[in-house]
Amino acid sequence: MTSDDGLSYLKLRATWAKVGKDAPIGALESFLGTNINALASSAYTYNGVDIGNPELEPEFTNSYEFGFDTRFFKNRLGLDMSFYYSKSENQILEDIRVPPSAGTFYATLNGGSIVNKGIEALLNAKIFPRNREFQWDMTFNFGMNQSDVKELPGQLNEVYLSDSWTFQNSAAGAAILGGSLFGLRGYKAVRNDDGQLIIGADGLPELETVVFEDVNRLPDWTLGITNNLAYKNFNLSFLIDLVQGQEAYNATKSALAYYGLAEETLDRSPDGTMIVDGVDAAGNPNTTEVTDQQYYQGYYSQDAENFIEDASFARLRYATISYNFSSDFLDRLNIASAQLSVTGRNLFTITDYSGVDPEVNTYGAGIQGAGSMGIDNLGTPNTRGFDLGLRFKF
Amino acid sequence: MKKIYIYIFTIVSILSTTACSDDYFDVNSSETQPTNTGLPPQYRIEGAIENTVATAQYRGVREVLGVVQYGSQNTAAYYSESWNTFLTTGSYFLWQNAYVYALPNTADLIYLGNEYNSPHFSAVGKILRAYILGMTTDQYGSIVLDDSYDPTETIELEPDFVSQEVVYERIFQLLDEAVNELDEESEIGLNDEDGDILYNGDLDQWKRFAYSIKARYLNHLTKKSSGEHAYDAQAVIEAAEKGFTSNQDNALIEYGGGEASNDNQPFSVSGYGSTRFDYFSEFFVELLKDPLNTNSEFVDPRLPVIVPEAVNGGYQGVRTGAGVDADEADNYSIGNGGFYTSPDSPTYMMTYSEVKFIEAEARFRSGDVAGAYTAYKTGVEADLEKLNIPAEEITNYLGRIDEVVGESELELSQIFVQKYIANMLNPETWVDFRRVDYSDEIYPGLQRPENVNVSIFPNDDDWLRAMMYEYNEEDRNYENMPNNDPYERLTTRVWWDIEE
Repeated sequence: MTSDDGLSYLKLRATWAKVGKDAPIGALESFLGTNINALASSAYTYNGVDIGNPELEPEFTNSYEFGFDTRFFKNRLGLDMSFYYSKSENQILEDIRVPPSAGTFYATLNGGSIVNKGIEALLNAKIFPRNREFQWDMTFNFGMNQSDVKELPGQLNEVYLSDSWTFQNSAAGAAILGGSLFGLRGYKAVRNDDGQLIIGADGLPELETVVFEDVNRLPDWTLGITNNLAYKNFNLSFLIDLVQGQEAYNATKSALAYYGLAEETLDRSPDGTMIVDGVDAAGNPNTTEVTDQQYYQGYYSQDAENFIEDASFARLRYATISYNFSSDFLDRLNIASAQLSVTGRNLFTITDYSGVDPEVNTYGAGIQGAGSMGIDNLGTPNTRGFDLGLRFKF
Repeated sequence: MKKIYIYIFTIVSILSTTACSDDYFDVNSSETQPTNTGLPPQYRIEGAIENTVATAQYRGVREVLGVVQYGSQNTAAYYSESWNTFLTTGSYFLWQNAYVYALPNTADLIYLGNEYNSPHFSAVGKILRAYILGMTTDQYGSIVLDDSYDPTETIELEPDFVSQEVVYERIFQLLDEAVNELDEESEIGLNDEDGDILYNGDLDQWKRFAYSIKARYLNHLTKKSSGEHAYDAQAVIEAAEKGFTSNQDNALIEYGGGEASNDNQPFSVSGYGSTRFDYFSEFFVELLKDPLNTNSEFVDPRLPVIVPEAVNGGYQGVRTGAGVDADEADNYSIGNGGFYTSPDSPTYMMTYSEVKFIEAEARFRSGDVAGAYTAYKTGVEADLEKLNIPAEEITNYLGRIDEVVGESELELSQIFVQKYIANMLNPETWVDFRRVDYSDEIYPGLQRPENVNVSIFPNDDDWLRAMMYEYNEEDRNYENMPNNDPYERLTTRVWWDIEE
C-alpha cells in the first residue's frame, strides 16, 4: 500500500440560482379569427380559444444545490453526489380549465408553486488496477426526485394536463395540490360506507371523478448500472436500469376491455347477462340485469382503478460485445483499426406491469405541462433489437 | 488610407441599417394575426353584431323552440319539448355561446371605443351587451356579470354570480350610457368599414334600438307591484315611444343563402340548425287558422307565408312532444322553408311590431285601452307589412279586428297572441309565456306538451320556469353557482317571475 491509497481528490460545490421564465409567445393577447364555427360571422371575432392573459407575469424558480465530487485510490473509485431543492413561484400554468362564463375554456394563469427536490449520485469504480489485462469498470447512477405541487391558482385542487387524455377519458394526468405534479385523476366506482358498490338505475356501478391520492407517476428512485468489461481484444458493456416505485395508468388495457379483447373480459356469464353485486342509492340489493357487454363497456373499462398498476421494472437496456481486430492483421490491409460489435437492446425486462411496456410515455416530450409519463394510452413500446456493427478506420 | 475609409463606411452603414429598433423586443404582439385589443373597432363591429345574433340568439331560441311551441320535432319526447335529458343535465349551450362567443366582442368594442376616442363603438358594445345579458338572465336567473371576459384583465378562474335584479339594473345602466355616448363625437364612424350591418351608421336608429330594448326589459317587470322595481307602465310607454318608429328600424341580420354555412339562416334547410325545426307546431298553426279566436273561417294571411304546405296538402302542425310517425310525415308542415326558415331569411333581434305590442300592453295595464288598441293594431299592421302581405289583405285584416275585437273587447290575450305570431323564432316569447304563467286564457289552445317529464313536472300546471346552468360551468365553478339540481332549477321562477 502506498501513500497514494486513500483520498486522491475532493471538490465541494454549492450553487444558488434564480431563473426567470417569461410568458410563452403570444400569451398576453387574445387572437381574433374569422368563420370560427358554422354559425359565427365571417368578420373578425374573438375566437374563444386563443385567449391571452394581459396580466401574466414571469415565473421564477429559486434553486439550491449542494454537492461534492470525491475520488479515492488513485481515482479508481469516484463518488459525485448532489442534493438539490428548487421552488418555482407564480408558475405560469397553461391550459387551466376555466368555466365558460370566464370567456373561454382554457386559460394561461399565474399561480402555481412547485417544489422539486432530490438526490443524484454517481459512483465510478475501476475494479482492477490499470495495468491488468482484464478490466472491469462499473458506474452506478442513482436518482431520487420528488415533485410536489404546493399552490395552485384560485381554489383549484388539481390541474389537468389537458393533452394527456386517455381512451374514453377514463383518467388523465393531473398535477394535484398538496400532492404530486405527476398525479392522476379519473373515474372511480362509488361505494357506500360498507364498501358496497352503488349501482345506478342502468344496473351498472356509478362512477365519480376522483383524484387518486396515492398515485405517483414518478418513480421513488432510479438506478442505472453500467458495466464495462475488457479482456485483450474483447469488450463487453451493458446497462441495467432499475426504476422503482411508480404507477402507470394502463389505458391500453381499458381500451382492450372496452372492445372485449382484454383477458379480463373472458369472464363472462353463460347467458351473457349478469347482475352486478351492489346496492342502489337507497341501500337495496341491486336487481337490474345487464349484459356482459354493458358491464365491460359501460363500467369496467371506465373505472380507472382497474387500470392503475405498479410500473416498477428492471431492464437490461443494452449489452454490447465488441472485438477489435489486431493491428498485425490490419497493417497488411492498410487499415488503421477495425471493430466488430453486436448490440442487443432491451433484451429483457422484469416487471409486474401487465401492459406491453412499463416505460411507455404515450404523448412523448411534445406535451405541455408535466408530460404524460406513466400514461400508457395505446402507445408504442420501446423496441427490442439487435445491431451488428463493423467499424473501420483508414 | 482610402481603404480605411471604405472599411469605416461599410461598418458604419451596416451598423446603422441593422441596429435594433425599440420595438425589436416587443415580441408579445403578433404582426400578422389581429388581436383583441389591437384591431380597431370599425373592423370589430360586424363580428360583434353577428355573433350576438347568429351564435347567442340562435342557441337561445333553439333551446326553447319546443318550450314556446313554435316547432315540434319528429321524435317523441324531444328534450326541449318534453323537458328531459339535455334540459335536465345542463347539456345545451346558450351559456357558452353567450359568454365565450358573444359577450367578449362587446367587451372589446367598449374598450376599443375608449381607446380610439370613438364612443359610438362603446355605445354599440353596450347595447349589444345589454341585449345578450338580458336574453341570458331571462333563461337562467342569476348569471355572471363583472367576472365575465374583460380585455384588460386576467381570465377569472371562478366568476361570481349576481342576482337577476342586479343584472337588470346593469342592463338599464348600459342602455342609458349608450344613448349618451351616441350623442358624443366619435373619431371613427360606425360604418367606416361597412361593419354596421344593423343600421349602416345611423345613430338615431341605434338610439331607438336602445330605447326599444329598454321598453322590453321594463315591461318584463309586470309581476312587480311594489319596491324599487315595481312595474311602471308610464316608463314602458315612454321608452317605447322613443323606440322603433317603423319597420325600417327593425334590428335584424340578413343571410345570403350562399354556400357557406354561416351565410344561411340557421333554421333553414342548409343552415346549421336545419334539423332543429322539423315541423311547425300544432299550437302555432292552429293559432294562425283562427288568430282572433272567433271560431270562424278567418285564416291569418301569414299562415301560408310562414308555414310551408304539407306534402299531402294543407297546413297541419305537429303536437309538441308527440313526434311524427314516418308514414304520417307528409301530412304535416315541415319547419324549413317559410318566411323565417328559408336560406335567405333574416334573424330578427327586435321589431317595430314588438315595440308596439309592448306599448299596447303597458297602456292596457295602465287603463288607457284606447291607446292600447291603437298600438295593438299598429303592431299587427307592421308585422303584416314585414311579411309583405298585400295591402288589401292588410286592410281586410285590420277591418276584421275592428269588427270582432274592437276597442271594447280588447284583452291582453289579443296582444299576446299577435306578439307571439310576430316574434316567431325570438327567445323573447318564453319570457311572455312565463309572465302570463302559460295561461290558456291568454294563449287559446295552449296545453302542456305530450310526454312531459313527469318526475320533475308532476302536476298539470307545472311548467318549465328556468334553465339549468351548463354542465361545464357546474364542473368548474360549482362553488359560486346557485343550486343546479334540475328539480330545483327547472321549476324555480326567475326574479321577475315572482310576484311581489
